[in-house]
Amino acid sequence: MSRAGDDDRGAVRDGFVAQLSERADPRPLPVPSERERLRTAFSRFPTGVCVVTFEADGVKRGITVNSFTSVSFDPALLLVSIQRSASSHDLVIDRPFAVNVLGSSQERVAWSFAGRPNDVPVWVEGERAPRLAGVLAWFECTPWAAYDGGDHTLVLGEIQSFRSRRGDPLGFNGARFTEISETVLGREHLV
Amino acid sequence: MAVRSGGDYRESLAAMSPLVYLDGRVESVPDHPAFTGIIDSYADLYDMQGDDRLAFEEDGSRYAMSFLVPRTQDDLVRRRTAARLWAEYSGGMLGRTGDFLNAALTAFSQAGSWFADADAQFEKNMAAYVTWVRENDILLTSTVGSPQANRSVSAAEQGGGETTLRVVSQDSDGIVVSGARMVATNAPIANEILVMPQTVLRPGLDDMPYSFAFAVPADIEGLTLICRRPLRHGNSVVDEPLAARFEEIDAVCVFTQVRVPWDRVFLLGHPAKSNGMLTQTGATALMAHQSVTRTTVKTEFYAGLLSEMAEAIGIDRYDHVRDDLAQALVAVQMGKSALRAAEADGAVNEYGFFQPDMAPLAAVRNWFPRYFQTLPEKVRKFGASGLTALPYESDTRGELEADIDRYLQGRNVPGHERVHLFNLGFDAAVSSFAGRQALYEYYFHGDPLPMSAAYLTAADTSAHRQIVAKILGRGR
Repeated sequence: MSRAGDDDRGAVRDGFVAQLSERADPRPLPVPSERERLRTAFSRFPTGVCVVTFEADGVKRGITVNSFTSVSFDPALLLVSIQRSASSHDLVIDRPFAVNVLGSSQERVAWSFAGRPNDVPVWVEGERAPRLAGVLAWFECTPWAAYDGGDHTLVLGEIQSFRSRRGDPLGFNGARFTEISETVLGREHLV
Repeated sequence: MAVRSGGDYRESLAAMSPLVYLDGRVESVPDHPAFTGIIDSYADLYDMQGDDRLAFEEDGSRYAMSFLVPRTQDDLVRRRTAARLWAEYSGGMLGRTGDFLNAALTAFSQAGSWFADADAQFEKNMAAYVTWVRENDILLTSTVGSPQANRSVSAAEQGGGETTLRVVSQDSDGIVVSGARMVATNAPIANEILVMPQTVLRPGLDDMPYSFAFAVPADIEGLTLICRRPLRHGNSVVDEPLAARFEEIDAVCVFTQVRVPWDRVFLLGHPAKSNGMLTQTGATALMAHQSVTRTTVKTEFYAGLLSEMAEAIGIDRYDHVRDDLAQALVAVQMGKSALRAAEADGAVNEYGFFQPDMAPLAAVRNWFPRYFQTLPEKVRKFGASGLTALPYESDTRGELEADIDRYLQGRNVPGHERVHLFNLGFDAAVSSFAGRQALYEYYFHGDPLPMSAAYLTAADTSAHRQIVAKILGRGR
């Protein structure tokens, strides 16, 4: 097969294509769906990673979420958004729960409650709900309100007790786990 | 046609018209002084294929041994023997001889299911392509590296996303790509350029336009090859024993709206899968088997050169010189042992071909790039100021001949012979050619630091630690 070029190199031959008895069918890149594009756009906003933990029917459960928001100081309220299709969605509504903020070394804990169970998470008995060991912060909550959020439910909890410590958090950015470093070292004001 | 001769290779280049820049537009690659020496050498390599150790017969045709699909350990030995003969021709200085990428293609041709896992069409395309390359003994090179505008951000973000080679559009004929790849060694004298995915691509939409593998003719419309300055000075093979014959010119590849037909697309739109194209298909192992063969020959070349130089000037009795020589010989044995171990511990992989064990090859790939740097250093140490007393070949004859043979003589060689030998030392350790070789070997497999990190990550240290734990008297 010869193809006439516009430049001064004249015809350019493609020996491989020329000898083919059968041409290849196109296999173009798929056009991304609106949903994929929206998911990607949402992923541009970096977040931390939390696990919502609770106990139902004597079984300790957790759901990894990255949609966590502080809401109010008085009363002390927080919000997590739970996907309706999550298997524990119906169980967590109207139950005491804890929100656990994961540290950078706890990626496997995050995976454990995001569809890839493993034996890494260590449970801690809380007063109102089971919690996870080794986290940067935890909040034990009682249910305050639940709002329709489309294919998610916005769950507000009233914070009954909490603790926190410093450390590098686990982050979620561009649909990937990442480490968010505390920007302390190297930032001293030199005099 | 199958194995071709040097003449066939020259004809193939004469029929091509790549857009090459080297201090201006190169009108004819075969006639340009920067390429005549290397084309002669590659033609020699193709002429060598009359040797049965360099080709195998199948259905009445002879094919380059680098296309032999290894089924047994013996087949790997045959592949190594062929790779060795070609490497010996240049002392391992030629890094882009066809056998290197043919090793990858051989693996790809067997790992059809890996490509079919993305799409059955990609398996078909790859199979047809490898058949064509094999039948016509086509010379391939590959492109390496994306523009280094900003090393602190990913490939996709370089220059605002406008510099890295990417798919810019697609239609019923194929994909259209634009952007640049930094290095394609030998591209001006190659027939085809293999464009592989660049690690590391991430799953998701962002890296989709970068997740491709395809091959194009080196003279495809829209491809510009920008060459670095030649390192040979146009002198004789006596003055420049290596640079005059073995200089593989590196070129930046600029793709401007290059239309790649669908037939030539081997993978598209699988960013996560792209990262494993070489390792998961067994291509890495076959390529490493070739490259460790080459670098071992290269070590042998330096060991031989050092021995010759030491003898020529009578330093071969000094203990420090003998120590350096011994270390070079040890390194040769390390390379040879790794190859034998890789063959002996090889196994038939999931694609049905006998794959060399990667562990010893990986060890050499991590060790040699650094070790190699010490070989030119030894040459400089042995040759010392003798590496600066190197007159032109023309001056070693004629009216100065007697002076040169007297004053530049070695212990057992006349001056002009010593100059010839030390010219080789100069080209192997001091010249620009030598500097480029040092750079090439240091980065041949990738940046040594990430290489080390990956090596360590993949390593299983439990057995070693068990020894310590036992001596400490604690269970693990």
